[in-house]
Amino acid sequence: MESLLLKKVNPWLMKLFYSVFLSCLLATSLLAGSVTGQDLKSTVVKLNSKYANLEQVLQAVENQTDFLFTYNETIKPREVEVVVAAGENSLLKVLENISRNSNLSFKQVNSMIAIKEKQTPQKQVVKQFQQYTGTVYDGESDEVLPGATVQIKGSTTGTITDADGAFLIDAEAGQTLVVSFIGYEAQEIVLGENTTITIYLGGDTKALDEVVVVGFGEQKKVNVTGAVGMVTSTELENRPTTNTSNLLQGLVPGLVVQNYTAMPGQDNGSIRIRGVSSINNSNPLVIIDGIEGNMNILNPDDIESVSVLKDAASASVYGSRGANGVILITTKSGKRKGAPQVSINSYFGIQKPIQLPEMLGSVEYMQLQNEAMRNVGQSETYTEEDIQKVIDGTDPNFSANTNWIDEIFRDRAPQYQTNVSVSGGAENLSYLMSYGHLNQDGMVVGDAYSSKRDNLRFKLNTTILDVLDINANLGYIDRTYHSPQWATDRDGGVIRGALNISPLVPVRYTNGEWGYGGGANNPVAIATDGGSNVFSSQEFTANITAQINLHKNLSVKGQFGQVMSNSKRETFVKKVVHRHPESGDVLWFNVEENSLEVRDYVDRYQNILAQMDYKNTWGNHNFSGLVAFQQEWQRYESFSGTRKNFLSEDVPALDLGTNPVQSNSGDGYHWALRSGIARLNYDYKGKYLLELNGRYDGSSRLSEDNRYKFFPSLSAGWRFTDEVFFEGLKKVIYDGKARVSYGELGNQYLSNMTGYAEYYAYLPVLTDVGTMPIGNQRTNGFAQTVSAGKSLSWETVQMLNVGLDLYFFEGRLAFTGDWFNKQTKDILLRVPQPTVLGITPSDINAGAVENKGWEITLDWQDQIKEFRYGVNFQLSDVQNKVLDMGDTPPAYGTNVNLVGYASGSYYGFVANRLAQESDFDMIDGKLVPNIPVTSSELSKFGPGDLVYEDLNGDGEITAEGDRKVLGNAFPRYTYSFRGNVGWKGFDVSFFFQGVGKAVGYLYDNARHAFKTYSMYPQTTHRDRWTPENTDASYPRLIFGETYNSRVSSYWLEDASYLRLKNLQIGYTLPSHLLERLRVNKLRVYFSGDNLFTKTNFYYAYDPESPLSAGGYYPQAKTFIMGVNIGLK
Amino acid sequence: MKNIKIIIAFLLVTVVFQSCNDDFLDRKPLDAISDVNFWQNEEQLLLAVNATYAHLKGKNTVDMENMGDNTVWPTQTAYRQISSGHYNNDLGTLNTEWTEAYAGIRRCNHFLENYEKADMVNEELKNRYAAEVRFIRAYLYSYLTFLFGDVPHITTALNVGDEEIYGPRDSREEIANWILEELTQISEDLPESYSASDYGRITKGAALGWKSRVALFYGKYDIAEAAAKEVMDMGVYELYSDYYELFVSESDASQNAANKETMLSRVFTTDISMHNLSREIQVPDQSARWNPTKSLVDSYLCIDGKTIDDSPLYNESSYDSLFEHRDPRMKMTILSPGSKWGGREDGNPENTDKTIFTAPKFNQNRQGSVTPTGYYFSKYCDLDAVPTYNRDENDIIIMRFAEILLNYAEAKLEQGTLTQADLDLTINKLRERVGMHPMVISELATWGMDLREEVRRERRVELVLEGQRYYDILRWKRGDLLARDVKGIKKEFIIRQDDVKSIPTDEDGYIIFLTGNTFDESKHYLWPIPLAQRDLNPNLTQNPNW
Repeated sequence: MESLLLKKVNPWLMKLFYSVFLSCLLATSLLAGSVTGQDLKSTVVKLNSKYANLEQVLQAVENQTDFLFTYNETIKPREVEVVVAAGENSLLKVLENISRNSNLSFKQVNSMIAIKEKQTPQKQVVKQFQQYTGTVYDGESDEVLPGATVQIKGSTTGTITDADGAFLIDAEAGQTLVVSFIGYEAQEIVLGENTTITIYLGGDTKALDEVVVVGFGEQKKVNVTGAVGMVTSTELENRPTTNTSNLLQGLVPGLVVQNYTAMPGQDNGSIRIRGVSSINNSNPLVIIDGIEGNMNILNPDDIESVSVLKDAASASVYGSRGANGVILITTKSGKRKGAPQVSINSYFGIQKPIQLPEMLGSVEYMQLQNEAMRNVGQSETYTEEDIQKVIDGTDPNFSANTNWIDEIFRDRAPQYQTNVSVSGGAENLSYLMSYGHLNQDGMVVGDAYSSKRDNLRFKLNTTILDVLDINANLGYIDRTYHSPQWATDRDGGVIRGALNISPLVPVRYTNGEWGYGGGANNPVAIATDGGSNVFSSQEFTANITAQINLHKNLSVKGQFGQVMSNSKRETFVKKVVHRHPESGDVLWFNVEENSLEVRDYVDRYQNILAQMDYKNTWGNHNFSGLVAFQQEWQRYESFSGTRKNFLSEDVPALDLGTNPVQSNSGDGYHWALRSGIARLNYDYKGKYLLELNGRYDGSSRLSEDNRYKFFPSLSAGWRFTDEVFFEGLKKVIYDGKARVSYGELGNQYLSNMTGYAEYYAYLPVLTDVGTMPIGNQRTNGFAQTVSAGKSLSWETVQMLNVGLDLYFFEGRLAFTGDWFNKQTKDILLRVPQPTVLGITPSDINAGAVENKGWEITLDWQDQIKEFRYGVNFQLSDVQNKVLDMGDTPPAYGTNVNLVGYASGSYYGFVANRLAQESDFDMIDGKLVPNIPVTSSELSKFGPGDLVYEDLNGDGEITAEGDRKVLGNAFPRYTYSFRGNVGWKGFDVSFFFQGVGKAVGYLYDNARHAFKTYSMYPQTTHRDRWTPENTDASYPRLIFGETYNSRVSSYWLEDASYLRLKNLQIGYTLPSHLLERLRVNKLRVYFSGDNLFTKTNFYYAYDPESPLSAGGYYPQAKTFIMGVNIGLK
Repeated sequence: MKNIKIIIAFLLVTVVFQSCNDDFLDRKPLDAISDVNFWQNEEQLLLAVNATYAHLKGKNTVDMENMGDNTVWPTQTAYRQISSGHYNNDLGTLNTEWTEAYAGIRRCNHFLENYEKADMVNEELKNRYAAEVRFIRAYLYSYLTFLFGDVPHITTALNVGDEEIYGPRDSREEIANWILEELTQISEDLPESYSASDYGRITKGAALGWKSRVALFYGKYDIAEAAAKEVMDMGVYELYSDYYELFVSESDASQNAANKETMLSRVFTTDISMHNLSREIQVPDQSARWNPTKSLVDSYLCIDGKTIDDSPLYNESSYDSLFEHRDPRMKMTILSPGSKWGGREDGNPENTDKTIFTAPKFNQNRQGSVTPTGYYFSKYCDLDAVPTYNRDENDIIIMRFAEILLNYAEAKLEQGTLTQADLDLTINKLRERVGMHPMVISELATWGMDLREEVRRERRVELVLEGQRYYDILRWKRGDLLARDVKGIKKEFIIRQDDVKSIPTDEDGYIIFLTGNTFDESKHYLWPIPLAQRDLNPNLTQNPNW
């Protein structure tokens, strides 16, 4: 009889009870998916008499069932007469009947049934009530949504959907149904004639309840006062991109990814957050589930969310490690009390090079070579007879016509990936197991390049002793990368080799032996038979967290994490023998003896963290905060051994090398960090927000005197739309927040030095150095090669950030804008020193760099019935400027750090045109230039050469006086535009990404011909200057001379571009078709990366690899077909 | 319940703080030795001495020959640019030379500042170590002053922040005197020779010999004469029997005790340290990198001691005849028809034996070694090392006894005291070794030959490819030699005329390979101070007219 007791309680208490109860209900229905809506229907009650008063009926029901009724004092059940059907009846029917014939309504809330008076108790209205039935679906997955609340707007009448997502409600036409579910946007439907309704709930576009992962915790997005970018798993799905760096390209404004190669396994782009703030290491800190990790070998399918901490306030809890921004990756987990869910994602596809250089054939090459020789007054290299031999094809061994680019590249290379995960949970337990396999073949012949990766992850969360939460997160990554033994970089390797070899050389001689180029290795032979460079690595991550809630407001957490990797690089250089096609004489072999080098690396990173979280509320004042202590340390060691002369090239085992000369080496480094961390959050009514952060860091890389530093930050936010005066404007601006933050970050990264001196830069050290063999023996020597920086201290970044978050149209349109000014001071810089110093200078704290910029995001998400669509536009800019270089003169090179200009700016001559005959006077039968030229080239300079501008006007071209900053390699105005459309089972999404302003520089083989014997002409060199073609794009051809190819504005390329980064078309089969197969999701899709590029960059290379001599493995377009399967 | 919570929380905190210790952040290097712990014993000193030997020039000694007029590189290189006078202060090689020299000097200074800290019983050995290092420092300063003139004279181990880094140039004259003084001092501490296991270390002879070279460069002929004489009187050195064999690996002094001529060499050893000189000389499928010039070839006297212009023995009727009746060193230096070679296909289509050279090749079909001048070298070419890249283990000679004899003769000549007896003691020993007509002062006079020119000619033909020609031209102030066209053989000697149709010739029919060379007497006797260094240190003044 508790129910009768309840009615006597104070109505205020009732209300409180109600609201708490309701929210608990929502919580439980979310967690367990348990539904009681069906109970009313299935519960059968037996009533004896047709006529009764309501109290009798209620008592009967309470006696026969678990349901209890609640009502307030105005309702007197004894006085309400009702007519009921005698005998057994569903409780739902009984209550519906009573409601229909009275002014009362019933609302079931779990095992409670609330009785209320109808607000419009007119009889005729009652008559118009009819039963509406419907089903609620997840708009994205098309899965039914059990537990969704269906309520008539303006009344308390409502119900909850059952396990099939179905509901049944009595309402009158013209009323509005409000369907809501946590995590989804509520939808309103005006009821009409049709009594069967289908409702699709879309994601909560308001995103107001969205939770953002921040350093050492989580925050509601509305409370975030810093600049944090967030990427969710849906934005990363089904892309044929093998690493997370490249996946993040274009997804977060202010995060710039430059990806210059598609080399299997080694194709991760470089990431810069808000520009280049440090000279040495501008890589952001990557934290995976709380410990530092390598996101590029992580399985992208395992990622739940990525947070990018861009401003100092957000990153300052990472103190000395946060200067370049922080990327926080959270991996997926199982859900408690969830049924086991199996998910299978698999694709297969092909990669193709986006663009390749087009080389000229032998005949044109020979003609141009002769022209290049004539132009420098030297004899022609090839005779008419030589050229005729190529045309006639009479000498296929020495006068071939080979297109080496065609020969070294394949048309296409396969790539496939499969991911399987199983997740679920029980009362005190959740788990997730995932496995991913990636296989990427190379686009170069001879199986020279390939990559394989297997990722395993196991996550377990359990509560023991009722109070202690234990989280175990174990990861294992096994990867193998193959590449040719001839290492690939911008200056070498088989791809550069294909540019270095004459088209006259055949791939194979007529007798089947490899063709030989004379001074250039046959790249196809090396890629096929030259041996391999195999890198394999096994990485094990163990990350254990234990958390105890000491009090409802206080919890303590301990974490131990470690990443251990064991890697091996085996470089097996095989002997490729080239024999004369006729005599069989040995012409050349790439190495005297084959050799094997095995290098073993062991790396172990450990992290220990103790953290205490506290939160409390006093009235409208909400406080939360944390204190933490953290230690991190890493140790790396390597060992290598080499042997030569292997009798068999089949088994690469060191033991089989027979040359008695064997060598070995080993090295290593270690470092440690010790930190104290604190954060305080305060808000008043969720309207005025304030956050204070601080971290005190000590680093082993600095001397004892300079070891520790404190990095503070402060941020504040104002949700002005909550102000009373804003009420009227709420219709326009649904929600709005202004943010401001300021803080300090540190950087302890020194520039790379010989050995690992950067880890002990404050100590003068001697290391093993090579020297002359004394007494005909290998001789050891020890010497200091790097200067010690005894007074080195932290580099400090100070950043001001101002931001605005606005939501319009009830949250469907979101705007985020940020402006920042980031000042890096006391930069750790290897200031170029006059080389009388005699050793590599150590870094010093010198100079300052500024990065100023802004970022905007516009996002529109909407759903019109079954038609879902959304667009997202991002634009950001950052301007870098060197403010100070510590009073030291700059070191001028291709790139330069000059005060007042962007760091690493291109530096060189200005050249806009080619010299014409009018630029010369004929004196004594010789052409003498009447324009300024370089004195040492006075006698060489001729029509068709590049005209350098005499910037200082001294009548002469000199390196000192006539060079200037020409442009900045770092991209500006990076933007992206994404869109997605879904209708029923179909979905289409596209993703454009681009750069508005950037400069690239191509040099040597990438752009020029005939500077040396190993630089061959491309189709673009046809348009060279000749007396007949004076309006040429390329200077006259001059053999062996480099004066036209100096770094100058003429050779800088516009590296801006717009690229269709990804296009995806998918179809999800209706779930009812598959239910019997226990399949709850089946989606097939096509996805393509880098499908289309619009750019003015040089045709042969990619605008994303703006500094190249032509040796890079190219970028690829990838097309895949895939399937996503969910099983229950 | 509350107790459990507290116990667990306590455990968590304990685990975390367990690893806290005071030296957590002290991480000492894992692969290097701290300067503080070094310099303690004999073994460590020896390792530091050894490291300075890395700065003896190896193949670069020979490469510097490209700056002279003896040989020409087929493509444009920095040394060819210097040789032809078409270079500026931004030429990378200038900066490399500067930087490498000071890197070696810093290493030496670092040793010399610290070696006395070591606990060593054998004082003599300690002094020898210091003397070896001081030699290398003096050697490096010699090149710096030869090339750049005034340079910063640094004798302490600099560190970032030291003011001396931004110091001005010091006088060449003072540094030269200091070098000579250093060499004098250390010659007291150095042994005359070493055991085989220490072969390659600096000897007393090397110090004195180097002193004579430096003194000669700076016109201090009395010092040059005395130093050379001191070496000659040591009785340690004598000429090796065979001039040609002296430059192949079998006769390396590091391996062959019969070689008592080599005084200092950069030692090369199979698989440990090797270079690529032999392959470059006769590379079989490309252009030979080392191509004797007409100027060099013409400088060889005929066997009768007369010049090619005067000797009746000279016969220029064919390529082959050029090599006949000449100073025997010519065939030992310049590849002559009928010799074994590594260049494979030559310029004579009739020749079926690819191991024998018969005619120069001009056709670039990548099947044989091509020469733009028509000549190849044979000196310093180990045929075994030609077929593969970087497999030459031949020691590079930095100084040999023959040079001391030449230094002596020239020093005496310049002082006006050169006698026939002196010639017999020096130059005629060189001629005697190869069977060449001796140099007789009276004969020269009768033939109208200038003694100075002949002494210099002797130096040229004896020391070709040993990296001295450019320095000799500088000190003789004969820059005009570099301003001339680089020529080769008579075009008519070439068998396949089709290959050379477009090659220009002079009025006498000789191939002109390079034209337009210049030498500005007002500036080219010194290299410019590298642009990069002047950018970094505004206190460095520039050489005249650069």
